[in-house]
Amino acid sequence: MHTYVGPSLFGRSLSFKELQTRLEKYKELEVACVPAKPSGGYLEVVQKLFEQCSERCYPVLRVDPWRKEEALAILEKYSSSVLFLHPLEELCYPTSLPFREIVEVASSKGMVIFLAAGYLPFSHPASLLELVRSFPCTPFILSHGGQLNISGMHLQEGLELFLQGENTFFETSGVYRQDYIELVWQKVGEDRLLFGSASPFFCFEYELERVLALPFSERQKEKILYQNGKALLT
Amino acid sequence: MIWDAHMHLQSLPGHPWDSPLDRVLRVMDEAGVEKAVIMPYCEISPANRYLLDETIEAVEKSRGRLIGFARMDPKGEEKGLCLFEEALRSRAIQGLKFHPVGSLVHPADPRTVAFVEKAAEWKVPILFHCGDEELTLPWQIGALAEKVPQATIILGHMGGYFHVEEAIQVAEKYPNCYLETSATPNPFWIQKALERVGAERILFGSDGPGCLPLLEVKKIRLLELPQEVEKKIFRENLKSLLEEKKW
Repeated sequence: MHTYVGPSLFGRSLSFKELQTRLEKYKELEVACVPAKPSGGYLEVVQKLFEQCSERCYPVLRVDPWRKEEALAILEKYSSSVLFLHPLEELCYPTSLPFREIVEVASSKGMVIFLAAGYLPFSHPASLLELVRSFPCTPFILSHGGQLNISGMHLQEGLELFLQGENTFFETSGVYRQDYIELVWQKVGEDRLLFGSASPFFCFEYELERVLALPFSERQKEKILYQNGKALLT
Repeated sequence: MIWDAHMHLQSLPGHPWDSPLDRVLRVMDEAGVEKAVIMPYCEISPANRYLLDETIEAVEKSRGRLIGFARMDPKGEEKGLCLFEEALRSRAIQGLKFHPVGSLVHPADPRTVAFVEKAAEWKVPILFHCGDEELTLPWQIGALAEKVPQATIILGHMGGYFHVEEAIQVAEKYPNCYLETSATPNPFWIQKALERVGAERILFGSDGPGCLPLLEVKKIRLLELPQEVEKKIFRENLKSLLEEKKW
């Protein structure tokens, strides 16, 4: 559900060539490709993404809410079922007007909104809950189980995101504590957990092991690894 | 065999984090962990010494598999220090743990320093929660390492999600600092730590049972390290640190 491709402003990127190598190694893998944050605007990188994505690679749109004109142009021109937004990298709070305006446009197009969650102070689970509640008919994927805190301080608020937001989906990359994943699974059921790696920021192989290590049946793991994501995006 | 430098044991009936002895031992067995350092989730002070008693009792029941660290509240001051020394004399406790998010005391605060100096006197290591939160940042712990250079300080989680580079910098600067691998999710960063700090100052930890030791072991194994390096990370480094203790 979550692999960054293309040149990154922050120096860590995955090229399409590297992605192809991974696809050759994992024959059943399909990838939702998110553009890494570039040094400039998104128009060029999104265009390149659509040119280079082929079989088993699904382009995900990404915009900067502060560049409204460009964002609207991307949403108008390119067709994808998912829009990715990273509040920290764009320095834009999810409850701010520019952010909400973009979510509103994407929602009107029936898109799924994929949020980079847990990056303080911008995407604290409390802020995300407010956004998610404002768009109850829009599906939201929340990366990292809604929170990234290595003390476990945000686990309860993360859980609330999924309990109160029935339109939310839990993406597994980088999650702190396996028993948090198990708890969310117990509370919200088996249809709303999605595998993601957030590679290359996190490690694809390790994130795969994270799901494989869960005490679930093969059928349930298959749902997380593939079926839930496929059902959401198609 | 594997020694785990960071696990938790505390009875919390009905809470998802409930970590009684049988849960801890089960996940250790699943991962091939021979011995583990355990500590409670909450701070020990004279007012709640039952947490220390629970840790010691678990160590005694474990037939040598568990090693207790006392997660002390620096606000306990003199009485807390006495309790810590009493714990060390029990021999079930072989180290000190601080989690400043829990205690709200800075790593370099004089109250923390007093405990750290005591631990250094006894030649037992001090494990710090080192993540992304205020009071747990690597350079904040580095300030303590500078004040007490004779202390062995372990940066647990080696900086968490976003501060691993800083944790590595602290370990580069202060030779009395070690990096512990639990919960930080990218093996790439552990590789970087190995290159810059060396294999002798990296310790395997899991933060189990909530974080699975089995998964944390896989994180190290993904690096495909030479066997002698793996041996140091998985066992020898922690073993050496614990052998320094003064009894």
